Amino acid sequence: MVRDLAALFHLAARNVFRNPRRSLLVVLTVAAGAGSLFLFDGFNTGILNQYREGTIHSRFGHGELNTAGYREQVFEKPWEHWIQDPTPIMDKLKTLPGVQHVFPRIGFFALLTKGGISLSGRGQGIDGAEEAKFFTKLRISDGVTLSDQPDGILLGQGLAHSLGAKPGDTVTVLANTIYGSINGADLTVVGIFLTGTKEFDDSGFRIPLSVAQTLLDTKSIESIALGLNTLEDWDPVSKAIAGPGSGLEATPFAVLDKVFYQNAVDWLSSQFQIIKYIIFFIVILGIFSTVSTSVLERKEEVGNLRANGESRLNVLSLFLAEGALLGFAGAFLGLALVLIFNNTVLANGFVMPPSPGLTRSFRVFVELQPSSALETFFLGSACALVGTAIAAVKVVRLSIGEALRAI
Amino acid sequence: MDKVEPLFQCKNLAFHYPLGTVEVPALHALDLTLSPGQMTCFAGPSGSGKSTLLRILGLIEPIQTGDVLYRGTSLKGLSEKQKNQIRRTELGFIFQHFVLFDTLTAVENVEYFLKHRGFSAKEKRERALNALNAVGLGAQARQRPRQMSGGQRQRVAIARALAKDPRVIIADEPTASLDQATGQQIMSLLSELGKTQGVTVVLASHDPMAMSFAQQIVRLKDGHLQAVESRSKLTVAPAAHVAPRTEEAPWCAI
Repeated sequence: MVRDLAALFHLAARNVFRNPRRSLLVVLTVAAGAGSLFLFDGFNTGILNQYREGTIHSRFGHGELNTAGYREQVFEKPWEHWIQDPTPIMDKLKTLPGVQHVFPRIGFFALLTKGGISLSGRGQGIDGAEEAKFFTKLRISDGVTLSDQPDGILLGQGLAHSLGAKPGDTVTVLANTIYGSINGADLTVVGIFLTGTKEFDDSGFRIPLSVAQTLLDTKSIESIALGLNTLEDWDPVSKAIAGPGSGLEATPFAVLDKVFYQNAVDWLSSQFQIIKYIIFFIVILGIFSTVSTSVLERKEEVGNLRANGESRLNVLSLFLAEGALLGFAGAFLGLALVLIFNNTVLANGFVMPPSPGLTRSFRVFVELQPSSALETFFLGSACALVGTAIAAVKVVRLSIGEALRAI
Repeated sequence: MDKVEPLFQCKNLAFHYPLGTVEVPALHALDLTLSPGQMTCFAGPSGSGKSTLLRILGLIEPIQTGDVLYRGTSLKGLSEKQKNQIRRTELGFIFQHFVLFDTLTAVENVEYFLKHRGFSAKEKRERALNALNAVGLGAQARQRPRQMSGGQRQRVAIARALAKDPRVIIADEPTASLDQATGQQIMSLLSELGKTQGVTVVLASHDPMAMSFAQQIVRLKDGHLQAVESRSKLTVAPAAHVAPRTEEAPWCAI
């Protein structure tokens, strides 16, 4: 069987050089298809990775911990469902493999006042010094990020603009304590951030956790955001800390940012699948068209093969072997060209305009994936096989007499 | 005289080609017997049915009406697998346009159809070279068809048919693509090989030169059998599957 296959591919390899121009056309067709798929997959991966890293390193970390059931409903007194004693939990988290940073947080609503302007805002009390080390994608458009300033406030760009505030200005933050009384703090604007999510930029602000806890008169925290070594660490960490009976639940960033991140991932993935099928169809059609001519020219050869005892399957196998060789060559060429193109022309990436829901453009790098290379190689080769099979099967199915009537 | 078992027996054989909704008759209720060990030529003008008859005997066209017996066994109703087996082992084919693989050398062309016969690579190569030597092309074994003349290519095609050690060689207009001199050489070779190798040669041709080599001429016109002319001058060497004939007789119409 091995010898037969070797003989088959030996003849097939000779046959592909019978008409070099036509074979080159098939190879280039497959190369264009495989290369396009590989490049587009890399582009998609680059965008999704950008999205992901942006989401993780600007707002949510790899995910957040809350008390069990906290995110499933809206509470009249949410602070009663906060993490009352966060210290043991945070201490335990810091010992888990994969955990790089632990960020205690409080979320609350408040009124911000500057001059004669008062606006409502959505605040976060954070450990500024710790968060500054991890949330590096939070773009600061003016001033500096909130770190260890004891009475600093970081405003969203839209909110700052509406208040007419800039770094150095004083803003008064008024909030209800958990007991219902009103509390206030005068804070100094240290910087203005821009996440690109308009909804957040127009109402969000950040203050030190200790100031937030004083403002709300509580020692508890609403959530703990996590910064991990890798994305793969999320599952074991969340299982270790928020398993059954722990009273905690862990929510990954993809769910926290479902509207933008997860929906964007799903949408782009679906789009890629559709484009993949379109490319397949075009490549198969191109190959079918080219190979059909070749097969028709070889009708009497097919007749001769059949007359001398070759079965239909034998004859089809010969054409398929030729298609496979051209497919392999084309797919390999396509991948190689894209690799070279990406490392030269696209080495510095390119700027993409803001995507839906965002307000800032970003630079994308095409991230070619080895797994995608393998998949694309086989899919490109498969296209060549399918195109060849469709073209060849009609002639192969002819009776010997019909095939030889060309003579 | 020992009775020789017929090689082919056609009984009430008819054939038509479909042309859209119309059926074009090619053969009409033909009865014919071919004996082994001789060269038979189907002769007639274009459209007489000679190639059709040849292809039916070669299991290239199906038996639509009537029957064909090969060595006493009916060929009608054989499965595709059975037909393949007969074509592989019993029949060798030679076509007008040679139909060689341009990308293979002469010896590779000859050994190509030996691959399903269970021979080792060495045996296949040996058979192929022997066949090429028999047709006088031993020195050109490594040349490709495009490096050869028309006559040489047809010799390679003959060698390819011979290498299978067939019982019958089916040749459809073997000299049509060749000049007169080359055609004569080819026919002479076929005739000689038929005698020395004990192979029955059945050919279709409209060329009087080709006909002159045949021991039996079957004349066809418009799908009807007109005449069977036999020349019983035997120079066939006895072979395992051929009964020796020693009578000499002039051409006579049967």
